[in-house]
Amino acid sequence: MNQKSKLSEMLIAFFICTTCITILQGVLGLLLYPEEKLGYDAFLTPPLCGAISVLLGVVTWSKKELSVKQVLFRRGIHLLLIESMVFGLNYLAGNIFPLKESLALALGIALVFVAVYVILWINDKKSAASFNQKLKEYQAAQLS
Amino acid sequence: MQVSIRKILNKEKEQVIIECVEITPQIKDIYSYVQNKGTELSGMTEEQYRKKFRLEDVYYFEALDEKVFAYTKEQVYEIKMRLYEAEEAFKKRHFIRCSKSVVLNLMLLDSISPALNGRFFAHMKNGEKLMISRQYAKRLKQVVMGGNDNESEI
Repeated sequence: MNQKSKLSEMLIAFFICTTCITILQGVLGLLLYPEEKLGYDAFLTPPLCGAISVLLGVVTWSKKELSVKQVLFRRGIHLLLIESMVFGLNYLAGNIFPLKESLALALGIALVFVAVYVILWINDKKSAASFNQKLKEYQAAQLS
Repeated sequence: MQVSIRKILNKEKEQVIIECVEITPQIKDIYSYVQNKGTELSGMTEEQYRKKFRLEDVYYFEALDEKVFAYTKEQVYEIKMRLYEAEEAFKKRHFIRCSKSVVLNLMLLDSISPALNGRFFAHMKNGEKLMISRQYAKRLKQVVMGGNDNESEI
């Protein structure tokens, strides 16, 4: 994969990530801290976390063709790094959550992580469908 | 244009001769059609018999342990050719590289689908599933969809 493709893939992942984090932040906030009011700086959290999460995706890069197992293993590490980053940043900001909230946040992060890959997979599936359509046309054209 | 068929006894001497005043695109089409239909390869079967088989019946070529194998519906043949040589020699017959070790026949490709690891599977018409590397996916798309280098990957 060339640099341009990698960059565009990272950008797509960033925007999906940021959207999902915003939704997660809103849902968890409404469920756990409905009375809390946040300032404008809160708007910066999703893109910041999104950007760091995408950059942490460097652990999934490889010049070699990885097997499905290897990719899943690396994605596991990626998720752990994101969880550590979110909890680490919160800790540094003085936010220490009780167990229930911590579990909800960890689960939410995992859901966002899976959702990003599912959306990317759906996108690939769409590309594959359009390729398959063209393939049939290509084969028919070669035979005629 | 007159078309005639003359039966001969020797299979080895089968040939198609095109007699024309000028090599027009139509003549080129006929030439390429005959070439596609006519190419025969020879290879060793698993039982160590040397056999001939038609190129158009080959689903894919695969390089394994310094050897190259041709896979047809019924048989696997070891051929005396490097993978890059097969890729070069048969690229005009719809063979294209889909990974470091596989060159597949686009005419016998049924469909592709996304894999979990960000790559794609190639589903061949015989039911076999091959992996398409990201590296070669772009070229595959160009050939089938007529895209250019600036377009995104499949």
